[in-house]
Amino acid sequence: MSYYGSADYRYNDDLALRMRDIKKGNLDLGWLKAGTESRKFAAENKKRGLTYMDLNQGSYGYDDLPELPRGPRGAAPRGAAFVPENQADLEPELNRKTDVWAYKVASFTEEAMSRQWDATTDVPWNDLDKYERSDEIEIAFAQLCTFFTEVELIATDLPAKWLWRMNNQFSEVKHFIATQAMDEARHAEVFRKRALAGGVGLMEALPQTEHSLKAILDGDTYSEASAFMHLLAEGNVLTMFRFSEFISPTPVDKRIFQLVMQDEARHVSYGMQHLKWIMDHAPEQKEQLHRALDEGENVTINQFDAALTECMIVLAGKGTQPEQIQEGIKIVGNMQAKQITEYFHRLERAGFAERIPRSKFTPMMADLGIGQGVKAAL
Amino acid sequence: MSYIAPKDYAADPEIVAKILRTVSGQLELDWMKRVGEPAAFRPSQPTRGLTLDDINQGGYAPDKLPDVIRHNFSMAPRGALLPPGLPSLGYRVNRKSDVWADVAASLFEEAKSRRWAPARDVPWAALDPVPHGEQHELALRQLATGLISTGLVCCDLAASWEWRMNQEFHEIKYLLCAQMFDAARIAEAFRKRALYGGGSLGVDSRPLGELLKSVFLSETYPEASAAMNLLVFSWVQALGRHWAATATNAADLYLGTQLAQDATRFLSYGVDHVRSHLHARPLQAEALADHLDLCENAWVGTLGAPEVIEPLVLLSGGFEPVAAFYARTADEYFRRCDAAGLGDRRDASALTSFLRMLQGDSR
Repeated sequence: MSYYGSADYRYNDDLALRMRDIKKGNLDLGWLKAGTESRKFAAENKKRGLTYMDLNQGSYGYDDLPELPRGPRGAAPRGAAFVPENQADLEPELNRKTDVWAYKVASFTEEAMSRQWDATTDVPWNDLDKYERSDEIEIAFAQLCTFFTEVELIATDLPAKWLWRMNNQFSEVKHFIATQAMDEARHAEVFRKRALAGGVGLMEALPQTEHSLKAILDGDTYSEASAFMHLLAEGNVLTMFRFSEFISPTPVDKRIFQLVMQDEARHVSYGMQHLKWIMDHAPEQKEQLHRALDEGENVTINQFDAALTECMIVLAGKGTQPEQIQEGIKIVGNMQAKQITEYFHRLERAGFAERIPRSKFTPMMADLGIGQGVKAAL
Repeated sequence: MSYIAPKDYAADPEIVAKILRTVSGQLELDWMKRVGEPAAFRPSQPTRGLTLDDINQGGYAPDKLPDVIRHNFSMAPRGALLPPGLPSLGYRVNRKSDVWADVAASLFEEAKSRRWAPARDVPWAALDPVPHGEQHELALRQLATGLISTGLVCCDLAASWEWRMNQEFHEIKYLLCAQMFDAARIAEAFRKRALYGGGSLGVDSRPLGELLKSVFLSETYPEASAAMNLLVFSWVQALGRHWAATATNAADLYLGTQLAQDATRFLSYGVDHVRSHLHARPLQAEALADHLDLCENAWVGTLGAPEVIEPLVLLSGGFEPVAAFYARTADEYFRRCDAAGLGDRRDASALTSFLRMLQGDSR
């Protein structure tokens, strides 16, 4: 036990007297005079319901939340009355708005709440039997599903690692992170189920990928970890999801990728908007973020793993015959170039375009002589 | 950046050579031979879909897991082939008996299937105009303020343990993600309830904050689980039922019902988890009992705080119904503790002394 409350209520005269008073009908009622702001809140759009954006007013809103919310360190919700010296201090470590905030985070949270789905019932699992797949296609797809099962839970572990350290004043961000954890648990679940429904089962884990996941989890600050995970890693995965929908062997698999894509796009958007918030409000953090992404890009390059790349090539070419392999290489090469161009575009949109010439991907792609799209982006 | 890769891969000629080999069509394809245990699982009940229980078979099932995980500290999913070179991701909770509950997979499935969104699913218009007196409304807003705090801290607690758990226990990790989601939704729903219309929040409660801090700072996961799932959610479930029972409108009826329903999942996991934990490691009963002693003391502080008990008195029509409500809630909590293998806690509990104090004064 790390914390002992301030009173032993077994032997507490104040409590006994208070209970006697209340029993007699002598209520204190001090809480009725909370002195908190009273405002008119209503749903602006009835179909959308009562959203966080509708509550964004005065002391209850997030627009007026200062960069340094001095005082609140406990469980009091933003806008409630509290006495700083009388609160139970939960010792939050992330107390600057810039540490966590993102433009549009309230609407991302609302979207997440309204677009929940269920991997158990929203995927027509029994339809898998209707579609014939060759053994090599099913093996390649099982390897891809093993990879996705492996990586998706990093996006629960990393947000969970930081959520509880955040001040409760940032409740919309904390709520968004909770929705992301749920989304990613569902993603890991759906890919595990697909691997175990297809006939092949799970295949081999990928050590290079695991090193990348370790680098994400070990980020020194939430913002560094977010730039690496939301923007770079999840951005890459989002491109892979789009590509995987395209190369899916069955309509059941296409359905899976349609469902996960909408969630992943939201997570990437949060990462981009968090980075943009930092660029606009704490540009002095740029060098720190550069250094984090230098290493993030470095371990990402090492993810060029034979099993992962080749399973996508087999799926894209629809087999392992030489002409199928050539077709697959062309498609996967385009996808990989697209991963980098989309990453660069996100950096630009976040106001961090100066990252692009410094990126480790830039000389690498030039060395390989591939990715015209990357050059165009530069 | 804490983790530094062993190489500058961007300047590594081996990687460029590997990529060029692949681009030229020289694929290795040896990974295609590294296939694990074949699996083609289907829904056992087609209308219910493909559940986690449906795929927990053979080598993929958790029942073959040893109590202490020594073979995998990476994110490799349970049942995948583990090649050499997988790093440790630093998991600190590696004992199955510290986290496991057989019911967890079903509870995760339930959490997904019973999803609701406060923005749209609560009939907010039922609160136009306020369908009861001003004091009644202020009492509800004060209780809602406490529920927001409870949701926020319980979300933190689930998060603070989820990332430390070994991936071999993925069902438990999934469930903790659902708990984070559910707890955050409690905070959202009751924030919206308190503010809707001409709303406002109430006052922060120091005793409630101390209870939540005592639970949040539990030293081990079993202690945290017992304190949050059994104790805090016994209170939350009871509040949900009471909120629904005293509702004067469809919005409050819905909110109370949903709160009680969501809280029941926490309770179900808590009972099954603590029972499994004590079955495997009976000597831990003393540590859990010590922790619950302290948390029950903090709970008494909360139950007796003016900003908690007085709104309940106003909503319930006097002191006697609240005393009965507290007695019922405590009785349910003690029964759950007993069912979880903690024995009869009534005699030793600060809660019992408090209930006697209420009964004594009311005689």
